[in-house]
Order: sequence, then C-alpha cells, then structure tokens
Amino acid sequence: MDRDLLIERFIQGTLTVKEQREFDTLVRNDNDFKEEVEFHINVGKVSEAEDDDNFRKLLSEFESEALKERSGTKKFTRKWMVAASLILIAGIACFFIIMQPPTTQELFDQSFVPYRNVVHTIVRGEQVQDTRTKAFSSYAAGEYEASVSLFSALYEDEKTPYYLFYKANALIQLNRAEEAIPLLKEHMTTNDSLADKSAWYLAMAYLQLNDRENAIKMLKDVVGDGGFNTAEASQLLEDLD
Amino acid sequence: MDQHTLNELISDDRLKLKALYNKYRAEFLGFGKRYGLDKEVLADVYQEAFLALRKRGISGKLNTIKSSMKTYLFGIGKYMIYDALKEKNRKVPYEANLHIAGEEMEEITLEPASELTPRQELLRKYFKELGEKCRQVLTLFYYRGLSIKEIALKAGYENENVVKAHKSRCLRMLREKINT
Repeated sequence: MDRDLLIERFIQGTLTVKEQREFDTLVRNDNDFKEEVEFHINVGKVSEAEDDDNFRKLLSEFESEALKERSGTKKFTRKWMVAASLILIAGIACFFIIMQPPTTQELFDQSFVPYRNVVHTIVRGEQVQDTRTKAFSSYAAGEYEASVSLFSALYEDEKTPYYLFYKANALIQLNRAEEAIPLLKEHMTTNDSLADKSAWYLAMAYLQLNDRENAIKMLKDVVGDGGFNTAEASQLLEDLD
Repeated sequence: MDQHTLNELISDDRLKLKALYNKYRAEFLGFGKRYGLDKEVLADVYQEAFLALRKRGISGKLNTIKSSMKTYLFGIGKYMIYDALKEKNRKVPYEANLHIAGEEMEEITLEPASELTPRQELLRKYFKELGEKCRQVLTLFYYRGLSIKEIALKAGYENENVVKAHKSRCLRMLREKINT
C-alpha cells in the first residue's frame, strides 16, 4: 500500500488490521518511514498546541468581554438606579405636597369669586352714567379700585346696605380683607336681601387673612343657615380640618 | 451529552462559543468561590476547564458521556480547583468542600498535559510561519481529526482533491523550512 496513504490512515485512525500490521512492520524496519511517521505525529502535536493557545486567547477575550459587559450593566444599572431614586424622591415629595393640607390662601384662591351684580341693571350705551352705573360697571369690569371709591360714595349718600357688600367684595378682591371684614359684619346685621351671603364672604375674608379659626366659625354659620353656598362651605370645612 | 451543544463546542463559531462560555461562567465562579480562591484564579480555572472540555470534545471522548455538558465541565473544574488549591498549599478540607458543591458533579481527572519536545518546539516555530490557510488545513487534519471530505466542506474548498493538494503543499513548505 502507498506509504503516504498508510500514514494518512494512521493519523485518521482508520487503518484496517491488515494495514496496521503493514504499518507496524514498516515503522520497525524502515527508519525513513519511521521518521516520516514521527514528522506527521509532530505536526499533529504542534497544531494541537497552537490550536489550544488560540482557543485560550479566544476564551481570554470572552472573559474580558464578560467583565466589560458586566461593568457596563453595572454602570447602566447604577445610572438607572440613580434615576429611579430621583424619580422616587420626586414622587414622594409630590405625594407629600399633594397630601399636605391646603393652606388657607389656597382654599381662598379656590373658593372666592366676587359676588355678581344682582342689584343694578346696567343699560349699555347710556350717554350719561350715574354713579351707581359707574360703580357696578367698574365692579363688573374688574376695576375694583374705582368701584371701591364709588361704592363708598354711594353708601355715604344712600346708606343702602348692599353697597357695603359689594365694596367688601371689591376689597377682598384687592387683597384688603381687613377692610372688608367690618363692612361685611355690618351688612350681616341689615335686612338686605344679600345679607345671607355676607357670612360666606366674611369666611373668605378670614381665609385671606389666614384666620383659620374665624373662617371655620363663619363657614359653620353658612352651613347652619343652609342657604347660599352651603355645600361649598361644608367642603371647605372638611378641607380646613 | 447533547450532540448539538457538543457540535457548538468543537466548532469555530465565535458567537456560539461565547454564548456557551457565558452560559456556565457565572455559576462556575459562584461554585468556585466556596473554595476560597480569588475571582481571577477562578476565571483562569474556568477557562482551562472549558479548554479541557473542548479538547475532550474534539477527541471524541464526550460522544458517549451520559451527563450534561455543565456537569462534566464542573467536574473538570473541580479537579482543576483542587490542583489550584494544592498549588497554593491551602489546607482546605478538600473532600468536605467538594461535597458542598453537590451531588452528581463527579470530579473528572485529567491526564497531565504533555510538554512539547525540543524537536516539536522547533517544528512549532516553523508551523507558526506558515500562512493561515496552511495552518488551518493541517490543524483540521492532524489535530481535529477531520477527513479530507469534511475539511473541504468546513473550510470551503472546491473539492477533496484541492484539499489534498493544499495539504501536501503545506507539508512540503514545512519540511523546507526545517531543512533550510
């Protein structure tokens, strides 16, 4: 059999029994053949050593990549942990802010609306406007400063109680609740058709002044009366608790 | 052992090998920690165990193994951890510790790796000087044990005759290097 083929089959481990015998005989008796076989065995050993080294390098790369990926994940996780913590802190802060009882100022802002003009009909286009029309026109237009002066003048002249009420509303709107309180107190004692509403606006004035105690007292009166803004007063009482 | 996984182990597919390497890595490092070895040492042990596993796969020794690849790999790892402990002269009650790791992970004994003879070392020097394609065909034939037909398929040769011719040429070049 061809020597090269014999060696090839030996390397591949596919020698038949007969071929193996022939192979062994040649190795024993033929030095050149023996040398040749050794060369092929050595090529196998060398290629194995090289292959192992290359594979070690590959595994070493895998290890470095695993460490890098892990630290990347750590960094990523860390980054997101920080972000999550901040969101959580913000969330908790919001929760407490939301859960904090509203201040009297906040309640005031949510509740106060100047009472609309229900006492004087304003006819548009009138050339000559009387003081009453001017006062209520200013009031309706949000010109509270002007309306305060006009209501004062009108009350001085006419002593009609509702001027007190509207002047007080304008003063509260102007953030001058202190001045509004005596007016409302006075208005409450009158027989004016709007007198039942003064308690509510007095409560508003107290809220603006952060006078919780008096605000509550007035709101209780409103609820007790069962008339104007009873539901709103109940809600406010709950909020103030 | 699962043939599909075994094929991946002895393949040259970087992605598959990496996935396989990472598949057992964390668990192995955790398992090895019990023996008081540094993480770096354990990573080295894991790599050597993985290499030993692959070598056994290439030699065909894993074809008849009934246990899973993981069990076998950890078995090799146990043997290597023991070696590493001996090297460090650690007086760790070895057997007791091994049993912590568990049940069916039998220690797999490895034959000591044979050193290359001076003649082989010299041959290695010349082998390294060959081109990549030559080193590949010789490695596939002499170490990996692939047939000429298998090499043609794996390395993308036109046909078996081309492989044979190329192999002969590479051997001739190697001989020439030795003789010069």
